[in-house]
Amino acid sequence: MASEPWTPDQRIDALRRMMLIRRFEEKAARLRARGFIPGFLHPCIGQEAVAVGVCSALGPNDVLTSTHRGHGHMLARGADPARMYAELYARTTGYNRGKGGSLHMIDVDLGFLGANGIVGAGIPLATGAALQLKRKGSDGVAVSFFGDGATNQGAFHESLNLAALWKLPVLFVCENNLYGEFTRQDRHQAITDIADRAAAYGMVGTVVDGNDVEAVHLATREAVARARNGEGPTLIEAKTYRHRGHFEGDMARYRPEEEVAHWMERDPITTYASRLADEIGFTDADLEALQESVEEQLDAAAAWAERQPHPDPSDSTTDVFVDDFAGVALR
Amino acid sequence: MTRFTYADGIRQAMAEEMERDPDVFLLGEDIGPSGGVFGVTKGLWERFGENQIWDTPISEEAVVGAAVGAALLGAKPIAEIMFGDFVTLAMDMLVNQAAKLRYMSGGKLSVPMVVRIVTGTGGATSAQHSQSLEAWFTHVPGLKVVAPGTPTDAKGLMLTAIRDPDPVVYFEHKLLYGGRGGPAGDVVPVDPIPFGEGRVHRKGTDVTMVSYLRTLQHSLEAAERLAEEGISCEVWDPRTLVPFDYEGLAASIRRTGRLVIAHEAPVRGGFGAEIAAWAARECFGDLKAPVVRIGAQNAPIPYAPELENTVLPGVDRIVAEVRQIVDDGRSD
Amino acid sequence: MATTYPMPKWGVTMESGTIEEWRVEPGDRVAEGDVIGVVSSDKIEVDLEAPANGIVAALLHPVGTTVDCGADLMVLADDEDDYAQYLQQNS
Repeated sequence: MASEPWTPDQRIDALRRMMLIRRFEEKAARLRARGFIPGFLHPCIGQEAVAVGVCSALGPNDVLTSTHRGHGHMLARGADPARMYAELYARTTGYNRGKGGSLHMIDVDLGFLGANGIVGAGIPLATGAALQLKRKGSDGVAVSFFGDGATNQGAFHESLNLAALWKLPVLFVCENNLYGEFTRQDRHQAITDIADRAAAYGMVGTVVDGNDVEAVHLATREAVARARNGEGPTLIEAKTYRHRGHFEGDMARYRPEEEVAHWMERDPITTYASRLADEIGFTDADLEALQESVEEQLDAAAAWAERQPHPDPSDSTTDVFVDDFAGVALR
Repeated sequence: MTRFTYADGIRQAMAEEMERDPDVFLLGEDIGPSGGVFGVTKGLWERFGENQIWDTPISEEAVVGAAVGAALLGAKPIAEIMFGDFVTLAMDMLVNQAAKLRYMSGGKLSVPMVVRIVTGTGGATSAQHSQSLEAWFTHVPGLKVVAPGTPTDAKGLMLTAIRDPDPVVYFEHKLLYGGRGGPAGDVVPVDPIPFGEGRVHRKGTDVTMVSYLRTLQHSLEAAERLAEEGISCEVWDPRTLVPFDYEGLAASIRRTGRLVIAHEAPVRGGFGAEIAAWAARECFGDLKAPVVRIGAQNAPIPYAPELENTVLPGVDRIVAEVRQIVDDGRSD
Repeated sequence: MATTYPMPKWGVTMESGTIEEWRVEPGDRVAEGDVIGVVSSDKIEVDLEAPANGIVAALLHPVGTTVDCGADLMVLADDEDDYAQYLQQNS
């Protein structure tokens, strides 16, 4: 049945993954408040279904670029929360050896080419990755996540044109969470459906309910099939909502209360849990057990991260070319 | 007799590397069947075909960004910026992405790519097609900056640039393409030239003149004229600005005791400032005269030839400045 | 054991926060994420959320106090026993 892409176990797994993302970030916010995390955090709470729906439709040869709001994408791809916490804590065993933090986290083994601190910058990178996949005759596809705000950047337009022109195997996944930083969509662009922009480049554009993990999965599966088949890129617009502010500490008071309430009712995790209750008899006890297992996993991850070593000051000039004179690095 | 030109050097290096390694490929505006605005890529599309020569729309950010993305997956792309001035449209990809990805990722990623920047004046090409922006890129940790002044250096440094694991910004001066002074022949074999090795073009004892790209030719001409006045100039070309051959320059300053840096870029904030500040500290004891910087006036490049010739430093200005610091020393 | 929590650092430039309001008092049971007070910083008011489940053991500063980021702000006990022990030790 087309509306049910998954077995009961796969559905529970998708639910757990969304819960893992949610709880990872809630805990990160607490840990940051306690001083463990020195830098920015941009939580994706509320948008978990997009990350999980998309990543569940990908294969091992696929690669991804992400955004400043990238924890969910990375966890959905299968990253290790312990090493993610270690990176947030700026420790040497973190994903980027403490040199990147939340905004730049990568996992090369998973083909996760990085969160990105520049809005829209992952889009040309994924386009280039897709170019290389095509040149090599790989069956891999590149996926670029970005928000509604990024669709006003030149990088978006240039890349979509290039990708369509060259029929590159790439998926442009717009997580339309209704806000570009602090600004509502209707105040930053004159269109409602960002997917409409696909037509301007001669590619397929689809709108999907970004709070429905299965709908996102199905839309992605279709787009991936097209890309692997040499039919070029797709722009998927997943309509969703950012439960919290632009970054941790932003109270997001610029949003109308009714709007927030409306979207809270459509929480991708609680709605999916009750759907599973209806359709496969997933009980409250099952949900509680899932919550506990997530909590245990993340407690262990955070505890591990806390024990990890801090970088040595001499690491500041590794992983980059630094000139020297008479054997001494120039400053 | 055919002479091997600067454009030949760049083209042949790219062709040899594309032959050797299918992961090397070119992308840029009008580089395909048309062979490029300056003919640098002429014949490459016919020879290597569409999988190695990607003719792009006019989209600098996507072009450089696509090169970065491909490089992350192991390609060794060479992106062309048709006029260096247009690199402003691709700065995010170069400065925030390419330059930093290796570092930000803790060494897990690397970006082995070359961005070719067609730099300098072409003669009345005016303010948006003539600039020399190399200093900007030397200021960004993570980028290497190459500035060849001769046909063989153009080839040897391009070979090295393509094989380098880091992003390399390769400046090529449009007035050098025709290439005076190249050896005879169509195809000249050149070995890869290591980065960070300057080259003494002319030995001298009174002053070290540091120049690169087209200004190297001006300095050589100035040295010739100054020799007639009994001033012995050592003309030294760093060839790469990052890495920079500090040891080589220090040795030259020890021989001459005077340092003049000349480049086509404006003096203010130009790369000459970096060299001068370094020399003031590291070569203080060897210097007999103040370090002199020569460059363009702090004005955009104007259209009118007489204005352009005023803004840009020419042989006359170099001769005058060198004569002055050498004479000042002698009258003491 | 009761845990002491610091004044959070929300904005990158935030150096201290002023307590505008406490919405709980010692002895109140809180759940992680409950809004327990309001803190202002750089003219912005931010809801202070309970950092964990527990019982408020102590609010270390009265309303109106400006507290440096990272400095002790409040104490949270795990449960009733923990709270009783805390009271005993700090009476």
